[in-house]
Amino acid sequence: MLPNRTVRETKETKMISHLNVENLEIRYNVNAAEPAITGVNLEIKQGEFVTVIGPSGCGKSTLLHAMGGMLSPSSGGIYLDGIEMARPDPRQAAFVFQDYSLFPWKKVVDNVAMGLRFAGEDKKVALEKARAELGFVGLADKADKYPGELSGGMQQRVAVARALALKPKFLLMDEPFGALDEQTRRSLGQELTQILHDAGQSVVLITHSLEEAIFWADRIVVMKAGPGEISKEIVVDEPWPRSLEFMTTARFDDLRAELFHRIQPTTASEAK
Amino acid sequence: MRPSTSAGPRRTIVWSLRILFVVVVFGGWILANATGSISPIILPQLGAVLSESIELLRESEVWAAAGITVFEMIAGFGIAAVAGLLVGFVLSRKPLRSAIFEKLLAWGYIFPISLVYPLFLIWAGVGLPSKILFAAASAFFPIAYNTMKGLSAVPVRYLKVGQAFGASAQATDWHIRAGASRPMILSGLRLGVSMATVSVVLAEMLGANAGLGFMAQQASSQFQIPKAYAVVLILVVITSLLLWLMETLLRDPNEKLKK
Repeated sequence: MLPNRTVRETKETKMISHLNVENLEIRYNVNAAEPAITGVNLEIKQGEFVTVIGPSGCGKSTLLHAMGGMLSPSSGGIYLDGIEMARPDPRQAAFVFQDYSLFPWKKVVDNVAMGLRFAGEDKKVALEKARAELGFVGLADKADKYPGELSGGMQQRVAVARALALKPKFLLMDEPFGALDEQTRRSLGQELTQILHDAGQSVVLITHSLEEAIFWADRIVVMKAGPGEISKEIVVDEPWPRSLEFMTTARFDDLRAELFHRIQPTTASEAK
Repeated sequence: MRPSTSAGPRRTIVWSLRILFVVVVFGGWILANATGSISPIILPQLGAVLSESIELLRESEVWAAAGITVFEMIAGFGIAAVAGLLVGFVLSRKPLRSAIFEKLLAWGYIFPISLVYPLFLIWAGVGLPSKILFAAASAFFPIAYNTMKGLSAVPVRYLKVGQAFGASAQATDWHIRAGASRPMILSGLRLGVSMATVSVVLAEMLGANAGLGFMAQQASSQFQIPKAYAVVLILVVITSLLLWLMETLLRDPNEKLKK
């Protein structure tokens, strides 16, 4: 288990940030028959933990990449506190990828410092902050190892630390536990999401797992395919901290059943 | 996944087998000398070669020749490294450039460049410049090719991290592209070292007026077979030391851990 941690700056920030997705449409190809996502409207408040779920190909990752400024909208827009997210800005919205994407030629601490260095931070300061962030995710003693010396779960924690080191307003996580085995996935997922929740970190997390989508979320965004659209938003009003007992409640079962039916393909094109 | 903690065969076993190999080679040599099964013109007495080597090492002439050879090797490799890294980097910047020049570099990589050594003699004479240029030309292609291929084949996921974290073009080049392609670039540099050393000796044997290759060729043409072998033995020691030095300098500290 990780040590107790203090509430991070984000929770103490007085101004509440908002990430607004307004009538977003993304087309990868102007000649494509239908857009990857269309008509997406979403508002995420600072401190919220939002999970996005939907069938394969419904545009979950596309939406996340657009929210982080990595994809330009074909129409509509993404606004953070009213300012358009025209390009990636990791101090506003930082990514955690499914495959960790750590640089194997750099030590763990250098990997975490890298985001800060890219953002123009002085090397010494960046390394100090990186070590502090590794402590936050329980990997202080692994700072001088190389990623290849760590387990998959530890590598994903490093990737989370790399993103958190920038103190982003929003953390965008693209199936961050998808490459882990079931047991690690559950334990690490529960641990990290609890930490992030305690810290008041705003998170948008994509997942394929119904249980993860419900258990971790303040709000679940359900998407449908062909074209990718938001079909439903569900508020999960279970208080935090959440214990695994929540997964055995009737409320959890009801939510699970609802999600299950909502993400089933309803047409032949969606099934494809 | 954790990397394997086993670093392959034990170091002591490797070194024991290496020593055994040397013992077998020299043992076979002594046996061939003793039985007279191989003519001394082809394989002189080992003792004669060793005493000739000791004699040579006492002569300033051989040290001067060794200095010339080593200088040519280092200068040739240095020019090839600078030019190869630069050309590889420039070509990797645009896919069209890579596509145009990839085949040319690959061709230069495998082309027996010694065939055109006479041209180097015409262009630069029989002195040092022709050897240095020839070594540089030989070592240039593997360095440039590997640099271009390495920099062009950086996994997209690393570049995506750079994009997501707002890396500038320079930061992407230095921290991501250079890091991700380092094993391939180092491999090209190692090949370049080998090519430069071989080319210098070959060039000195084919047409030169100084250097250890020239000395070996002279001894051999005058049927001073033990002396020729002794020079080759000195060359083996020098090139081994140079290769070891370059291997040490070019070693990737994280080589065994990377995935």
